[in-house]
Amino acid sequence: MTVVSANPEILSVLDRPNSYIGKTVPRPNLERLMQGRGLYVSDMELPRMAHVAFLRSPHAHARIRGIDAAAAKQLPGVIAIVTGKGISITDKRLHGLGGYHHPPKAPHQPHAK
Amino acid sequence: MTARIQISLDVNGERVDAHVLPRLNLADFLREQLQLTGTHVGCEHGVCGACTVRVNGEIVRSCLMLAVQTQGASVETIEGLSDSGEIVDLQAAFRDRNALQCGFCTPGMLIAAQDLLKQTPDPDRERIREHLSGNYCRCTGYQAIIDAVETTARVRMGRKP
Repeated sequence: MTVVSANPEILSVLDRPNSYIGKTVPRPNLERLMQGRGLYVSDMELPRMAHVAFLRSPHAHARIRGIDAAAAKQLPGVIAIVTGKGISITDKRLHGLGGYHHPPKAPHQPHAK
Repeated sequence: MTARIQISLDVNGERVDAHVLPRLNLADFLREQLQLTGTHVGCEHGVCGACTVRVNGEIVRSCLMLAVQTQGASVETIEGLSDSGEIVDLQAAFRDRNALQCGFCTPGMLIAAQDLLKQTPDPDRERIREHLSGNYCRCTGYQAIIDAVETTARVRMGRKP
């Protein structure tokens, strides 16, 4: 079989089949990464971007009996306080593989309530 | 809330006047107010070295320094060191040795390595390892980074890489 390149002048030797094996592959993004000019997720700033902070239980295996977020909600700049009760992730969501074989059910809730 | 404090400093050779909250650290000041996002925030408590910058010629963890402490100081970040050409050979050696993958730790690595090479122009590998021991890399491992710093030292000493 003859493979004819669609655009031979812009293809390099690395575009040939299997040409990466055993070769040093050029990395065109290195220059900007080394100059501190990459763009990581934490570098991005979007209009009206909000920040999230996670509060975790200081006690392992404790039972959460209640979360009183009233004072936190009053703080300036706070958009929402989301607790396990406020979002309804059900076990079903973890089994969203359609007609495929279902993975074994996790023995615990997907999130603390 | 505490009132903002006015500071004047020099960042990469440019004078900067700003109003900052007293609790704002230098890393966040550089990243959020000056958009110099090459200074990375990894651990936020002085362990990982990703936020390393130079203040009055000395390397510091910018996450452990308050912005208000830089009043009157000269701050240099990876952007400044890159633009001045001071570490162009070190950066080339990093590229040649493929001493970075994601590049998150690289600005801090380069600034710490340049600090070593200024103090100790001819360090052995042990000395390089020791000086970079406060800079964490979670992708490539350190071998190629040490190689790149060693090569740069040799070339600067006029020896073969």
